[in-house]
Amino acid sequence: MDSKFPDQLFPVFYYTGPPKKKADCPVHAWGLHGHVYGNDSGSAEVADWSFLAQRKVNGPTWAPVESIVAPLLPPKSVNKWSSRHLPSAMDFPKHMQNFYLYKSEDAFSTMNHLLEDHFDFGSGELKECMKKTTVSMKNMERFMSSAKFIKCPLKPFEKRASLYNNLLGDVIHDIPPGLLGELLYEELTLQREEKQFNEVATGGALGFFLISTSNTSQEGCLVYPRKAALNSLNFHKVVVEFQENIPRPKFMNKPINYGVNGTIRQVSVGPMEESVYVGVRTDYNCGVWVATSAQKPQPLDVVNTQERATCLTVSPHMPGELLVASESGVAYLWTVGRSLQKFREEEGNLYFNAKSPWRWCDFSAHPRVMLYADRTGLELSDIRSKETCSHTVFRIGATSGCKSGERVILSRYLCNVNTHHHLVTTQHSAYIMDERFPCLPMIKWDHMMASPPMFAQAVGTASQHQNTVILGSQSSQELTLLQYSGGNAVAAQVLGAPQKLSCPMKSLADLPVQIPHRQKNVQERLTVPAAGIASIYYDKEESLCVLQLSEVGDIFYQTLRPASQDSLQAAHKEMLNEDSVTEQSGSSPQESQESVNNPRTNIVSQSKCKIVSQSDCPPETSDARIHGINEPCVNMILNPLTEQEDVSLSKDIPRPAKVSKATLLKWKSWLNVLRNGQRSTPRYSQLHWTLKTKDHFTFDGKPRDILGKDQITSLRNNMREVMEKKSVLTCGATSLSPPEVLPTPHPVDTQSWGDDLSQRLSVSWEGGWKDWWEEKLGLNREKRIEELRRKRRRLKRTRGPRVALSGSFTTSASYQSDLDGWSSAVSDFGGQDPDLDSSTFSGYLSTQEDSAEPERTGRVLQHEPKGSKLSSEEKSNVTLSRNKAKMPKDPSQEGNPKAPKQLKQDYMSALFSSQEEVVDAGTEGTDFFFPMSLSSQVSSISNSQRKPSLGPFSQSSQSSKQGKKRARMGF
Amino acid sequence: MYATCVTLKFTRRCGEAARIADRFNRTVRPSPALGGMITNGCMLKSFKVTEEKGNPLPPQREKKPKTSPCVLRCGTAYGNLLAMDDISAEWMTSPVRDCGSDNDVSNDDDDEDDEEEEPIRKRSKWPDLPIPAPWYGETSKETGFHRSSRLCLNQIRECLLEHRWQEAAEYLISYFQTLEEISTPRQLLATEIIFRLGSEILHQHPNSKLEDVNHFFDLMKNTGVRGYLKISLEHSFHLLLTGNFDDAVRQLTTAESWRYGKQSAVQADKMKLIHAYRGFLSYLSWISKKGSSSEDDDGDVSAIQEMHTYFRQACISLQEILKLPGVWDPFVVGYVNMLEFYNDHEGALNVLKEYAYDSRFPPNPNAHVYLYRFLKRQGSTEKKQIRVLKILGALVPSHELMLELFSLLLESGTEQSLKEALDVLFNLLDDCSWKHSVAAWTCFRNMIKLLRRKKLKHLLEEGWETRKDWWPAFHFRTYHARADFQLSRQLLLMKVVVASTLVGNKCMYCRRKNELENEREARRMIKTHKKRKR
Repeated sequence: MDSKFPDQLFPVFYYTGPPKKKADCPVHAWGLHGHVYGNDSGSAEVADWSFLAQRKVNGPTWAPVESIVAPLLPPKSVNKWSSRHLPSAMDFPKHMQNFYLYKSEDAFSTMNHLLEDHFDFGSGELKECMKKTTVSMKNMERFMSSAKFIKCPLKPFEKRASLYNNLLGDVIHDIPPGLLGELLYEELTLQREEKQFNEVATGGALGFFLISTSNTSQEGCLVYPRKAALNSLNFHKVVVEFQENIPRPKFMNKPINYGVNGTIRQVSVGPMEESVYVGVRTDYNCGVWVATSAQKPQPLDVVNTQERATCLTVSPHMPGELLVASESGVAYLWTVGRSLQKFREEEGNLYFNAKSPWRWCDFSAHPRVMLYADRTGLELSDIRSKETCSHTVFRIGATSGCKSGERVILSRYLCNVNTHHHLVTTQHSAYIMDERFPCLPMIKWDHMMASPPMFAQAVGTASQHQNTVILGSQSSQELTLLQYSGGNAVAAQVLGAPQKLSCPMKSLADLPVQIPHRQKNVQERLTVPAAGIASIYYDKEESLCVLQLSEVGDIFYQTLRPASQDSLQAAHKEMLNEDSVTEQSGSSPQESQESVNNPRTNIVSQSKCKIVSQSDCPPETSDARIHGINEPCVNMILNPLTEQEDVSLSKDIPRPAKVSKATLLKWKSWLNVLRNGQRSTPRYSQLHWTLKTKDHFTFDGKPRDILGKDQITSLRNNMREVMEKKSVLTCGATSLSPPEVLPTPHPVDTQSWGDDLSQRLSVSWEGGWKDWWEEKLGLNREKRIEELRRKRRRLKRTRGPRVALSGSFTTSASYQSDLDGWSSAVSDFGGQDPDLDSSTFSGYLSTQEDSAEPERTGRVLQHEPKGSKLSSEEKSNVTLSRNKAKMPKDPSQEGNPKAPKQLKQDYMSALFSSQEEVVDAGTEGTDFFFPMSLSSQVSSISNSQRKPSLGPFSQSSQSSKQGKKRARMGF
Repeated sequence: MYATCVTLKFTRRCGEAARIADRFNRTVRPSPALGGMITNGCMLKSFKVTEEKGNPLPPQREKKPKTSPCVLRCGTAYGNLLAMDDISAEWMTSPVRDCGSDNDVSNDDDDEDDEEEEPIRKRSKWPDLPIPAPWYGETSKETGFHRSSRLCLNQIRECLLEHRWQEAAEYLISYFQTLEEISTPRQLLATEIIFRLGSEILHQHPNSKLEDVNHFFDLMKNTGVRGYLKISLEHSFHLLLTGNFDDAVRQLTTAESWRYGKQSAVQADKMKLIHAYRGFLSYLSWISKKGSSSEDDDGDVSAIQEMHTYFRQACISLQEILKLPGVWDPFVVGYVNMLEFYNDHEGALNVLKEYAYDSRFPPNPNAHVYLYRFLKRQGSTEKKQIRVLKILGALVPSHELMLELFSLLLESGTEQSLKEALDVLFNLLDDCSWKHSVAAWTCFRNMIKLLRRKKLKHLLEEGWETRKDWWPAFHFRTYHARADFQLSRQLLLMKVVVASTLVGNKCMYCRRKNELENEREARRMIKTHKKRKR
């Protein structure tokens, strides 16, 4: 079939000249059909014509079985792997500084020895003659200590420093700084370039050959480098087995390894016939091994190249033939057992000067015609003729629609797909060239990869209708899957859009979270650039296993299966089921972790939420469910979704979001091994000083929790329920026994203490310390007499003929200048009901309040409130009255004619220190109910008027005041 | 709200964006509620994306910074930096063979210590590969609007690469805002990007319908005139592939008459393609008319006339495109077909010869194949046919028509032609695609017989001389014997004859063949024995 050439090719313009396009539009992989031609079906009706597009938009797709890659081997402990940080060439002063500081021996040792005699370390007496030529080290040290190596250490000594520099600048360094700076700059530039794109790895150092195939499994051999420097070649038997319908590669037995002198850059494997030849390239050596299905691999031959070897290819046609190319521009045919035979030598580049020594060669459909390539293009050269007879296969230019700046990265002869096809990759595109029709590419893809693809694998699938090409890039680890069909009877056709496969870098997001520093460690390990890819195709149960090797020797694999409609639907349904489970059980740690580590999905879910909430009847996809949004609004809207939605979306999701348990287990053990291998501490990190606290806090080891396990779990359940309801967890809701209620202590009966001291103390506790002393010392005698007299008078009055209420009011007013609202209320009350005398009134009050008689001396110390409201009021009053001196005045009291009087009161109380205030505060509560004693009345007046109106209490007092005013107006 | 300001300024564009978004909405989600949102310009703001920082570029052409006093001189380093790959030097008509000299191009100022620095320069290799500047990377002067649109585009790309069409569609709805871009180049780019992404999503999305695609194409056509022709062509392709032949013709006819000021080179080429495809479709209509009229036998005059109109239309368009260098296989086939129908053999031959032999055209094997087939149909002389096939053979020695050439040469019978026939055969079998072809090996066996008969075995040896060091390994290994035997016994038998003639009777292939034959014989014996027993 391969011998056929397509009857018709797609129409295309043939341009010549340099590339014209600029790399601007970044979406060239999508959207276009390319060209179309009609397939002559022989029918007359136009409707029966079938048209063929250059790019068939809906191609067959491969779907990954799992969303992440899995490790194939336990990680080798590599002490240090370089991070992805790109060194900047402008950092060279920093590096020089480091050199001078940490490698001072190397930097200054010569001058050290010469100047040794002229420095004085204070060790001994100086000879007289030496004094003039010696510098004391003390001064030097002071000088150095003040420098401290901050940004410009010499700044404070600028003048002296420049003098020193003038004097010693050109002799003190062992290596002249200019030279050192230049070398460092170059080295850093080189390192940076290598990190971005290391061309020596082109081709990839991972190989696979098939040994045997059965109906249930497939046996092959993986060839990969191992050890820290990738200098040990391993042949390892791999069996691909089907476990629960998922193909999994597994290593069998122990690997056979050979030490190689140098880092293995490329492994090239020939086709398996009786035996298979495996070529291995290191920088300056190339070796070849031969293996058969029965025997273990044997090394055959080694060659050495003068310049660095850039390519080694094993012939797909002839056993024991290889091609070697080196940076000198020479390409050799290497027949095992014989010396190298030079067939082509190019000093410069083929088509224009790309300034690249990189060369590549490969075989073609004719065993004696070789492909010779460099960055500018590909040529076929016949090795039979003496003079170079060659013709172009591919060149960078307008013919193949290249962009300016585009260069050939890799070419590969796709012998197993189509004997005349070559794959050429550049930074922007991948081309399929047919050597029978050179120059014009049969197929052109825009692969959309961030870094240039250096590794390629091509798989011709069993049906032969569809060829799969997998491209791998180095620094960004990308894997892109492209597909095409045809090239024999019909013109080659692109199938579908490029598909990105998962890479180790992105798999971390789906793994369980680690402690931050370990996570960082793992992340660094997983972002190491790739060093090769391989693919295992199993045609019995169509599946494709893609393996990826990293620069530290880790191998990861992922399995793909053709995404048929049925399987997609099944996967979709499964996903829905799984998701509903997770929704029920709440967000699993996996999900929350994902949302943390994978901002992309997070954003998506966020945006979806937004969309959902914004539209009234949203056609929400199941994507939202996949991402595990647990917001009720989304769930509510998602639930009524019908099957129609599911069916319509079944095509949309070729990616399963699930990770199987087996894979997770593999990752777990991989992470464990990695962690255990990372024991050695970094070189420069210093341990900080620690204090051992082990002996200080002894712990008897008894569990502090008296609750049993069951109780704790039941408590947790209760807690969860309560949290869902957003209520409070009370004791009654739990299975715990109610806590014991401690009885409140009895009130202290201060009356039982008869001695002076006790009485005084209890009174001063109440705030009546001053009164007590006045009482005791008889200072208030006259006052009391007066009081008694008044009492008597009042009694007489009550006994005598009835007086007008106004009279009593005026008397009290005359004395008191201002009246408490309550007292006025009392008087009002009295006025309204003249039958009620004040004693009965007081009696009435006392019965109501159910309180002890207001005896000053023997009052019960009781802060227990009558009613909880009142008590809180009281308390607030207390605190407020304590601050009364600083409090602003109530605006309601301004303009009051009695305000100056009250001010005086204020000053008075301020003069009387805090004791007075305490008196006020303490007496207020009780005096208010018993407006008998005058002194207390005074204080109560001041209190009630001064306090800001708060609560029902103050309101009542104010209303009573209003009432009083009314009464006055009545007069 | 930058976007809102832009909205006010560019209401026309905004309306466009909204219309496109609306159409898109209807496809990717039935609810039209989002359509209005886009005009308000708040969609881009509503999503936050983690920034993917592209690799920062190497510090090319940077000025020497002021560094610590210890760095005295690093002029050469910078000099070398400036000597980095120059794109203008990319294309040279004559390849420059002296690679080493380029490094010195810019080192004008420090020639005094060139020799000393030679080892250093050799050690450091300047970047030989222009790694593409990540177009999605952050730029220094970036407004918030640009930043969010860039991030949005990255998201769409990610989604498309992972084949998540629905998600991509949702992002794209936000991305329509970039149509509000002020600067013309950016806006053109945005149109192109939206067209590409939008049509891809519409092609792939399970919910998309033909009307949606049509409408989207129509809207995109008029969003910036530059893309009109391209989108029209693409639209007609889409219609063709979905079986709407007449609509496709209509599309192309409209596009044909489109005029807009000055055309760029790309647009001119697109216009030519549109003409060509228009002609090609006319040809297809012509074929259908031809088929229907031939069914009616006599056919009415109007049908014939209509057919003739189609012919003329197709002729004019196809003639034009065939003058331009390119691969025009379907067009050539159609044109020649029509010319042949109207008995313009001369014209057809000219067209084919032009197509095959014009040096401006790429070396297309099919051009020679068409010419050969035409000659064969016309019954021209064998000599002419052989000449055409020989040219084809020089281009593609492994072409399947080489077997016909072989038989043609064989027929002529002269020694010279026999030698040529043998060469053709040898060349054919050199190619690994013919390795297992029974037909080719049978031809070889017949050839050997013929040569033996004619006592011209020296011809065989001549051909063998250049191949004897590698053919045994290429064709006649024991492995091949087994593989061929499994493939077909016929092949094995043919090859054995050739191998014994060329390599000798005791070659590995022959020995292995004998073993296999013996085995087979033994097996058959056992079988017959068993049968007899029964």
